[in-house]
Amino acid sequence: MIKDQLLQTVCQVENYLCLSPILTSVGPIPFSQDNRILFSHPPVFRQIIKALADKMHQEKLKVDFLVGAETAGIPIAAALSLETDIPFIYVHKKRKQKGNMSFGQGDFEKGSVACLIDDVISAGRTKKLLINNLQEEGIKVCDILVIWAVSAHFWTKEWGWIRRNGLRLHYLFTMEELTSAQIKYRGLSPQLGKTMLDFVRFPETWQGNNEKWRKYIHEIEKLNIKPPKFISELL
Amino acid sequence: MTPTAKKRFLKKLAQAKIFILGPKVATTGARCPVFLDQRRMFSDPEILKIIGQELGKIIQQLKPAPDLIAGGETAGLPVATLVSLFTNCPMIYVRKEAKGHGISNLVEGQYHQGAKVVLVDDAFSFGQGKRAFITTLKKFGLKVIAVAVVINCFERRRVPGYLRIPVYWLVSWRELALYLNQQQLLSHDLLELTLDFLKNPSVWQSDKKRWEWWQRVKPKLDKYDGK
Repeated sequence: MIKDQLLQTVCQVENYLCLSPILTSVGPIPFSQDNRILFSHPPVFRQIIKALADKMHQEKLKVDFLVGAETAGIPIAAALSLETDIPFIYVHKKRKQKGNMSFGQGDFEKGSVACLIDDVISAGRTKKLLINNLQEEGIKVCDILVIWAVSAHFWTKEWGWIRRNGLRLHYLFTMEELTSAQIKYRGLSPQLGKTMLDFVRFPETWQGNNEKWRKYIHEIEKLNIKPPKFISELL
Repeated sequence: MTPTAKKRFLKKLAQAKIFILGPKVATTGARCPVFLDQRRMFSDPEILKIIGQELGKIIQQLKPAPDLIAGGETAGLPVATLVSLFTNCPMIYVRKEAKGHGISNLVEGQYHQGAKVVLVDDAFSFGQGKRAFITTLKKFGLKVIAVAVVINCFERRRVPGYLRIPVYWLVSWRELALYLNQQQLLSHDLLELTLDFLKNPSVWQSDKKRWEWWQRVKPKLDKYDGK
């Protein structure tokens, strides 16, 4: 119930859900939920931080540090540090070339145990890189905490290393739960909702599948959303 | 910041051991005989609270009132977050360069054209970084009305290239050095050298004599372990 209330609050944030397709490092995606928009809404952001702190408490996380993942994980970890009193540091993807020349930024000691914090997890490749960087600094990550996690098997099948390394992954909700809440609270049509959830569950089947893209574009055009140029070139 | 609050904050910064020995090349490319690793301060939740409250107070007194707090990538992000949470003023952030993929832009978060922005960061040294951030924010239709930082290294009051934009800060490097010396955590030799560097940072970039001075006092400086 509390989870549903949080989802409702998050989904009411204007512009959080972007129904216009965008190009990403993994190719075009039909719609997106830009978590950085949430930082611009302090009352909502505060509720998310509270929920993350509760999650840490419920799942009995015992760590010396909260590590913010560059870049979107940094505001979350800093705010969570204030909420939980657990010291905060952050980690770069690339070693800093000037100044202290470190991956990790903050006051930490070798042998510390940490929780890596980010906004979202998909295949988890960035998490893996950051965990390796922290290892070079002598910090052992044993937990990963994010706001939401992707649901598609296409992505989650890559998570094997998390368990193999004895890491625990924690999240407030899945992309499917978030998308379902968007459909419900934004009052989106069942047709649009169906195609959105199909992408959430089977993103790999959208690659080069003009029929799926056309169906989606047709639905957003009903909402007066003009698809970007790259889409017409793609289809 | 009241004198008592400032003293308490300086004490916290001393405990965080942010003052370290050089030589180091700062992010700006400047050679520094002494150095501030101010990111160490973020690991004390008490310091985070003070930053949010005190920098928040400064920002709440600004006229006109800002619409947004913008954090400069990367160390400005925690500062912006804390200030935003304490003031309820929405936060955005500004990157040094675009990520090149994803839903990524030079300015992240929600904003509208013409919004008044306070740029916040961990520190202000020569101002080149802030200047670049202000130029980017301007390109995105945002109006920077002030810069607010935790530590103003050289006590600069204006942003180079944007002289209308004032700089606000909680403490300066000079104040921290004087405090450390007062608490017998920093020798007189090192204080003297630090104050000279803070006064003439550009001279230190090429002045052999000054670096010879550094070499001479270095053995004594080695005793300072930042504790």
